[in-house]
Amino acid sequence: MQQRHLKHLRVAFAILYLLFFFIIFVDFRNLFPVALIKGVTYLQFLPSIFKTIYAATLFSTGFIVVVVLTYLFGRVYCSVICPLGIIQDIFIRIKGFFKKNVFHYKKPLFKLHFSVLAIALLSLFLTKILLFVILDPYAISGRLFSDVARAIMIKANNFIVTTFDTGVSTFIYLIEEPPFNFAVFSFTMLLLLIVFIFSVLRGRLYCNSICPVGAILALISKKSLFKFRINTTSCDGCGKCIRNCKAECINVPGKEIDMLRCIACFNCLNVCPHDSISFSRNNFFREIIPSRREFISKSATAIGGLVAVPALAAEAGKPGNTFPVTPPGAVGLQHYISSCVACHLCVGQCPMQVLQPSFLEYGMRGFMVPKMDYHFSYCAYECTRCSDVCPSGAIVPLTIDKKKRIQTGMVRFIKEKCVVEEKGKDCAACAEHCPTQAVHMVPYKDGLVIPEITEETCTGCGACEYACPTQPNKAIYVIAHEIHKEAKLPEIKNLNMQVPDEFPF
Amino acid sequence: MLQGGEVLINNNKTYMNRRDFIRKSITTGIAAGASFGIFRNENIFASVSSSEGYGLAAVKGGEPDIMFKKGIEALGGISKFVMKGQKVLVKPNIAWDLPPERAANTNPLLVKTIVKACLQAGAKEVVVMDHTCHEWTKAYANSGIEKAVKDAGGTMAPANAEGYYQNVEISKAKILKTTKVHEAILNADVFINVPVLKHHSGSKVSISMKNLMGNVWERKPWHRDGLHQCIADFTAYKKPTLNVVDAYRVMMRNGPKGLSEEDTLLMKSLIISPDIVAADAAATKLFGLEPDDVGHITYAHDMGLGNKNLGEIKIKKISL
Repeated sequence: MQQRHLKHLRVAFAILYLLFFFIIFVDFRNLFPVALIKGVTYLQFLPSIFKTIYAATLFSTGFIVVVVLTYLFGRVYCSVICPLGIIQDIFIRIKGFFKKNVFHYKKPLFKLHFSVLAIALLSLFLTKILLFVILDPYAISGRLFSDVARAIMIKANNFIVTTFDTGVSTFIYLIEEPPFNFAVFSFTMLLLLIVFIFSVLRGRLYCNSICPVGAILALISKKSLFKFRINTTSCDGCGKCIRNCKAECINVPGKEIDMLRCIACFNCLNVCPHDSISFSRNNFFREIIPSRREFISKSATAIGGLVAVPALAAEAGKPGNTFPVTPPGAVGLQHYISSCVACHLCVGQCPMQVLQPSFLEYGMRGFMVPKMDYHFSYCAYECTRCSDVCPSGAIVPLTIDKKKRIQTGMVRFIKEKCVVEEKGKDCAACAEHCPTQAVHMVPYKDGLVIPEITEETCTGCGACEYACPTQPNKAIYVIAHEIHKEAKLPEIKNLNMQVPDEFPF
Repeated sequence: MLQGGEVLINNNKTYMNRRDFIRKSITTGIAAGASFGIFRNENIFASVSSSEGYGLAAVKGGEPDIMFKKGIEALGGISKFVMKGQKVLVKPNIAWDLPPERAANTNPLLVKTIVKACLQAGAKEVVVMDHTCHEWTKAYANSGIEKAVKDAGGTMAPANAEGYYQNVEISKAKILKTTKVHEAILNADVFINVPVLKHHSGSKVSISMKNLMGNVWERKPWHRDGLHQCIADFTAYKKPTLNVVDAYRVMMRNGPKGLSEEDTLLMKSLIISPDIVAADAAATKLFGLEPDDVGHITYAHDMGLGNKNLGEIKIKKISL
């Protein structure tokens, strides 16, 4: 195969990957298995690093694969795997239909780019803003698909069901729309707008000026084994490669392709009329030894920074005293908001739709980290979906048995607000829904029953808060634990009853 | 409660004289006609009681399918309730994502038997639904009811989103004046209510009238404004053609979900009646309580929706 066809291979893989990425975030029917989700998110750089720190398993090694891939072939991640990269390429192509894309060589913005990376790492240390959450391309894409695209898909689904009167069917059916969070939606769209503007004006500018993953991979790619090399003899300086370089990193006088900024899209190689560009390796042994040392020390510092800093960040900072309940598997508030990249994959995958994006409820450090919304729904007793799919280890993997023994919060009952106390009428909506009967009914006055709580069996699932009908505030609700505790399983007693032989009438 | 022009034959087998019979027939005929006017939705043609006089059948000691067959036979057969070409709604309890042995939902074999019987009687379609409490696709599947209905040739209807419901007024209601009901109940000619008898933390027991709660979209107002009265109010909206109370396995405590199989008792019983109040009264006694202990039974009786006094009803008791 001629090397110029590598571009087409790149495009094919990129489209395929983005399609699967889109699917796992937008899948509001939970049609696709956890294995697929894990496969897709495996190679996502930042979540994979976080997962290695917090919940290292076989599945957390993705970033190592990306590092090796980048060392071998340059920033192919940016063209084939990074969802935001592929989205930018789509924007660029669409813009090309209106006005032909003509790129020019631009000076690198290394000062800006590596400052952003340094600030992002430092900000984890100082715990003021989790810059990675805002700037990570995986998280931006995840939020775009989960918060915006999924909402649109659900509306489209419901439109189809009602308009075409699909009749009584469990094949296609109405889906309840999740609550609309204006702040989250606006912020997501704002970031998308910025990336859009950058891409139609300056190609992959975001990737080479702001993206923290891009900055890390640039350092590795500098010494990559395979590089794009211009054959200075056969090159006539026509400049066609420059005009097609989305990274704006090809310099004609120097006949050089800047591998720090090159995002390995193969456009240049594909368009060169003189076959003067090749994707090849130089002398393997001459380059490998010094650069290996350099590579190890550089990546050790970069990754070391990421490894060390979240632990430090966990000690500093003080979230508010009242904050939303965190999902089971979050371990504790500090762990959770330190390792969550706010990609909102768990939000889209939650079968109960109880996980919803927050905005500032967890402070700036927990910016847009998903929260449990017990007014809209509650956590199903035997479900572990969020912990199954979380790619960054913010919600650690759990078995169902482990999950039942986690107490994410404690139920609190306000008797004065309860229907039984206030109106003297039977209700019991809370006890009805409690999966462990931590909330159960006991005899009260006038033949009524009223809720009583056994704290040790409460899991903090929020079913009681969800079910409570009082307005405007709930008579029973969950107070979040900063660090999750252990819930005891309910005691199972014998029934000791006999069936009478005769009918009682 | 008398309906149509039936003759009252009580347990002592005394007969009315002709004058009394004519007088009673005319008055009940007027009442029936008037009630047909008030309860326009009640579909009196599909609501028939046995002409042999049995108002309730109680069966025990068999499997759910056998017990249903014997019970419905005693009431005159399924054709008394389902006519050829009619659309039937079978409404079991599918509230919880729990397997059949937990007895939180209606027994799937019973539902299967009823769906089959309706189709054999010539029903045009049999739709089965419940507005579940747990996540609906899991409740439908893990209760065993979805498979049972599909095997029997019925159709499961989703009830998980507000778009499936429509606003209705309930003029006779004391509290629940308006609510949103699932379209299945509006489209059906025949409404067969198939609750499972069990303990309930809020209403003491959950039987036929409580089961109707799964036909509405908003349940919170019932809990907030007076649970027992709202249960009776909604019964006034549309009384089922027939009530089949599953008491095969009964959750005796920690209802309506129970904590484990230990909460259940294998009672192997079944109660069938077109009178929803009578069915609930009988099932309450099976459970070990008195009908007067259960608020909504008394309210419904006082509203004229049925008869809680089992002594006034002719009951066919079958022990297998």
